Amino acid sequence: MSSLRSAAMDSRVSQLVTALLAEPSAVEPAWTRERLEPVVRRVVDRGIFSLGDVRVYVQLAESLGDDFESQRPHAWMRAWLDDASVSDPVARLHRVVRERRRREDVAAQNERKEAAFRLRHATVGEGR
Amino acid sequence: MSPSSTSRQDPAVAPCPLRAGKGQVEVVVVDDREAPLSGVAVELARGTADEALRTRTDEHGVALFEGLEEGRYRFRLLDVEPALWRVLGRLPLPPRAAGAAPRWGAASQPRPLSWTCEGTESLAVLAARLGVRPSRLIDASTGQPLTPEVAPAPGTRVEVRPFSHEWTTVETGFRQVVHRIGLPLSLVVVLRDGTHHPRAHQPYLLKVWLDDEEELPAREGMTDAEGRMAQVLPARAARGEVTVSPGRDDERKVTLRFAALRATSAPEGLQERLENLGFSCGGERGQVGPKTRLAVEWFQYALGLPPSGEADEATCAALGLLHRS
Repeated sequence: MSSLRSAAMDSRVSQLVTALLAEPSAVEPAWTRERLEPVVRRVVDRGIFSLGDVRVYVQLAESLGDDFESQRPHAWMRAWLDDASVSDPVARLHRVVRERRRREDVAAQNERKEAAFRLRHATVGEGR
Repeated sequence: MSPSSTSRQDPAVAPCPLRAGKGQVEVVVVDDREAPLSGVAVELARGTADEALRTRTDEHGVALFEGLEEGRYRFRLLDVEPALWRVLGRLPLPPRAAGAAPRWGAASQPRPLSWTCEGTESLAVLAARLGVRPSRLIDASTGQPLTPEVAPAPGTRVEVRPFSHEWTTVETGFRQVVHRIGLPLSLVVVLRDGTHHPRAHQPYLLKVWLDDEEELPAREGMTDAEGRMAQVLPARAARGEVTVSPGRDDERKVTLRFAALRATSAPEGLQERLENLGFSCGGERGQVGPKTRLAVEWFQYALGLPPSGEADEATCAALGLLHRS
């Protein structure tokens, strides 16, 4: 039974990899089957099967690196992808994408805020 | 037998369980200031069944369950003591398109909450992390309550006294507003200049990072007349960065690491406090060596205590008082 399931998973991974390789690549160097297959397998093993959702995960790997889940700054994403407090794996994936965008926004806002803070108070100091 | 009861009992005639319903339940979780709380785990279960759906609130504090059959359900905040959350009220939801059919799974079982202390977490931090009040924490080996003023020693196994996971009934078509009662942690730092004078009424910018490297929105403020900066921190705050007096000769950028100090009677607690107050222990840690004794002697001299170099009761008390912890 388990070998049957494993064969079905292998087949689904292969289909998804083929479909993704057929799409125009947005990154350099372009994905190869050898690099893309373990990335797709990671997401399929989590119960995410649709091409659109798998593409979302692959885009994360494109921008952060194939093994981003094991990198310290992105380790939270792995924890969120495996978070059993959210029962739907697709919801977990989209939550990670939304959160990443939100964190990037906060970091950018903080940089702007720090620049404004420095400018405002430094100007007041010079005026004295 | 009526046709309706036939359709309920006969699987061949019964509605497909995967068919999406129009019912929706929305739970909005807010903190003490009524600001939305993200990342709070919420579980929804059918009236009597053991099947449940779980999700976490998004950045707007919203946990949405959709594609439900119309009717009554039960919900609860996961792993949060019932005393730390309450329903503020409910509002009717505006009509929306039906969502996808949810995937029901087994309801979560209460799991024993425990934690092995690193020796740097105060009781308030541990309690906030475990979602309970500090009074509910006990030492796992002795079963005794923990002393609130002292951080548990490294390796101490802390357990949570069992509590019942209460459910609240909810109907589809309503938004429930839930207050997650917080245990605020305050950060108070006295900023001084090179001559040890308080940096009074000076602007500062505080950046805070959580334990998973999430950066929180930066906060601006002004030190008070004694050079104090006071802010409320979330329980998971791990480090911070303060910029004070920008653009001036005495501009400083200070890196902060948030952790509870050990007791003053422990060598590490003694050394950490002395270092923070500017009495260098020359890198000694964990054991009181000649450099720590010299630092104690300087501290005693500065405070007008007999300079013995021994961290006696009066010296430890003065150190705790001056350090404010």
